[in-house]
Amino acid sequence: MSREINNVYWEDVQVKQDLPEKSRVIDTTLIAMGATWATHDFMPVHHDRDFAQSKGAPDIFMNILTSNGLMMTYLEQWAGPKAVIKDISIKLSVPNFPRDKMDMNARITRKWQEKGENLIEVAFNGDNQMGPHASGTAIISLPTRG
Amino acid sequence: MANKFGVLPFNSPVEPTMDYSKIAPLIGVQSPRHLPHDRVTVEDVDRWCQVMRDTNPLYTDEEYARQSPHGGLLAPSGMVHVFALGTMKAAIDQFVHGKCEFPDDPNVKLNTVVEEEGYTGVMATAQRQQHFRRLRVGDEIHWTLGIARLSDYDHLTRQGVGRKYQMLYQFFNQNDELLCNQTFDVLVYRAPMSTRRLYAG
Repeated sequence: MSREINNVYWEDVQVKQDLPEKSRVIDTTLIAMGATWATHDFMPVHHDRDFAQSKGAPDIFMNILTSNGLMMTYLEQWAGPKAVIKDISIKLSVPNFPRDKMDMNARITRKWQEKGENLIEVAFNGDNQMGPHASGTAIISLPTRG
Repeated sequence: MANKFGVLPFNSPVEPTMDYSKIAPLIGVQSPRHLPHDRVTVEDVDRWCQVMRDTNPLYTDEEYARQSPHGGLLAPSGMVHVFALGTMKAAIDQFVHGKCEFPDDPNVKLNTVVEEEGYTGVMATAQRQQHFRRLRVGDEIHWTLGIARLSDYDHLTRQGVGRKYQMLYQFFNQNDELLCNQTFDVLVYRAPMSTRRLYAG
């Protein structure tokens, strides 16, 4: 399969650099399929509106595995296949409910070399119309040109 | 001490709103190693990548992956937790009928206690994954989990009054190599009656 594959190299990034923003529409399909089909999370609050409401929630809401997957994918799609996410911490605030949109952004906060690896730390956010859904930091090992 | 609005601060002392003695023996106890449900398959990875819109060729392009230093298809590292989650039947048995696949696991015992104490709502609030090795298509994932801590006071949250606990997962492959350490934070809460009435129809 021929396709253009971009890699980000450690030498080419700087602290305080912003990653390009991305958005995802959040709908019932993404929440329900993300939970059940992609992440095997059959807790009914993520696919059964009646069950979610019986637990006090206004609607089904995204499971953390999908939120984590969306944020990791956002970072990996930027960094390219030679990059490796070594460590990722994610904190959820307001839930992702259907009929919403999540805007993802990130900034490089640190850049260093350790034990033969070329590392950066990024702080990332995924915001919906109610406020911050997911925020956190990730440590990514990047390739070098050398 | 409550503030002028009658709201207790988050760092309030232990409150007699639940019997903590039932919980204390469960803290710091790790479950036995659980055997894998299944292998990591191309289909598993494809479903994840479709939902996440992940086009990383190490996950999606067999030829590219074979020619890479990895020598074959990988799975996204974040997927590792997926393989510790049970089948649909097991989940419905647990969450709807209260019958758990691993009734002796500390988190299952904890959930039973907190539900009896009226914290019927549950929500994951945070997680950290430290990845040590790549997850590969064909791997079998073993895992163990435990409870690291449970807050000994009530938090006032958007969802209602609740408690927070932290689970510790360790994921291994079929060669007994540690793939990932994961913490997983959960909020259990008492949904306010006004909210319950509103959504009861």
